Amino acid sequence: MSWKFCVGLLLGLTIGFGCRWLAIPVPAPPMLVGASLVVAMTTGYLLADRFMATHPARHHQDCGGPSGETKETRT
Amino acid sequence: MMELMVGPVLALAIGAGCRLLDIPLPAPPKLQGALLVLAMTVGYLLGDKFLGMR
Repeated sequence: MSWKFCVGLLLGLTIGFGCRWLAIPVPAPPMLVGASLVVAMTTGYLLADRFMATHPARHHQDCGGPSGETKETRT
Repeated sequence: MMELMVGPVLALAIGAGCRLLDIPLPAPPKLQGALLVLAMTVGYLLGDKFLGMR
């Protein structure tokens, strides 16, 4: 864990604390369950990203481009 | 109890679906960003508890 990430976490904590202190709406879900769902969504996104990186499309060369030609250069 | 199990599974499915279908994600696409959102919520709840004690 880098020191920049630690500073970011500390800043996040301070922003949340300050928002409650000054009665400002917090730019995050005010419930822990909601914030956990945000983390879960990001985790699902990253897992799918990793899956797609390890399973490249095998028939990509057979797929047609905008004109229907299979070997044309895509823009 | 059931809702607590359905929620994370649904959130994981939404995140994976957004990546597979190339749809913008309604959350930060980096884990560090999501943890910062969590840190803000924790700070808010700590402030709530601290102000409640005074």
